[in-house]
Amino acid sequence: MADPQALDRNLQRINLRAWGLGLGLLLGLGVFVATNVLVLKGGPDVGTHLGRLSQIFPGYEVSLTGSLIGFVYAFVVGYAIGRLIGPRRPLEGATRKDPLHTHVRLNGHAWGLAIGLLVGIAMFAVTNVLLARKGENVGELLRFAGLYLPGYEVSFAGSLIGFLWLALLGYAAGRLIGVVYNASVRRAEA
Amino acid sequence: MREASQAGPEEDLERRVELLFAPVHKRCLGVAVGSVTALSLFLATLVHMLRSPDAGYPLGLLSQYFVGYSVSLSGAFVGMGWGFLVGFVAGWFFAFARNTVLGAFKLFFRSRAELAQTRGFLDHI
Repeated sequence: MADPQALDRNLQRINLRAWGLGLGLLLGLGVFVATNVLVLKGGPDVGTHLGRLSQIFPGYEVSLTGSLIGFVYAFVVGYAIGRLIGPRRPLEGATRKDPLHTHVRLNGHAWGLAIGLLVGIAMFAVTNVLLARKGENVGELLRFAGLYLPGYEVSFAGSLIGFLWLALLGYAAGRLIGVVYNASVRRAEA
Repeated sequence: MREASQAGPEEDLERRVELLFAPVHKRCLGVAVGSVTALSLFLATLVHMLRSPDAGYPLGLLSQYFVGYSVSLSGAFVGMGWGFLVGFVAGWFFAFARNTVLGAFKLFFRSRAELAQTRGFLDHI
């Protein structure tokens, strides 16, 4: 008989891998579709703004080839995020005894923390990558984030403020997703 | 008696596996992600209108994807509808992909275990 704890660890690893693949596919397809919508629409200056993703994803461009490159990048990022935010104990809080009709519950607090930290760190990293690259109009588009995040600017101090704001907003969003999801599942399973 | 005591841990193991492979509820995750996306887009539009009433840039770029969206009060409601739709599809698809991957893993391990069980039989042929 296998060690139950080792079995749980293995199953949880598989569960996290599934979360990674799921989120990777979602983000990858998101970038793929967003790019190709612009490619199909055409026009004189296609993807002026979306093309800025190449600052973070080298080789990306708004074209069919670029959409495939973007898919790969976004898949990798999504996979990593999925593994981080995937629940370690998928059925925490579940009350039903019948496993066939039990769905995963989300721990809103853990989700909020994970999503908040991730988006906060992403904002901090993106701002500082742009600062490190230098140039004439550093963070031309990103500086508009200051409209929604008071005090944010494309500078090191601004990246810290951006981190705090997005960590807070990400936490609220993750928490809200957890609350709405768990309430909906409870209702659906009743 | 001996069989019953052996069936206990096996049933427990089976139940543990079933619980760890429990699916994410697709519709519920769609509703949850859709609601949060809709609310976020609605609030972002309102904040943009308050802080920069003259220029719709860069939030107005969303009109490239969301037909009818603009940085205005009516646009905020249109954006809310689009946000819910896109968020719902994203949440639903994510749950679908995650459940499918997990189901494939489960099928793979079950098949491998069944094959291992029949190995002894095949040796006798």
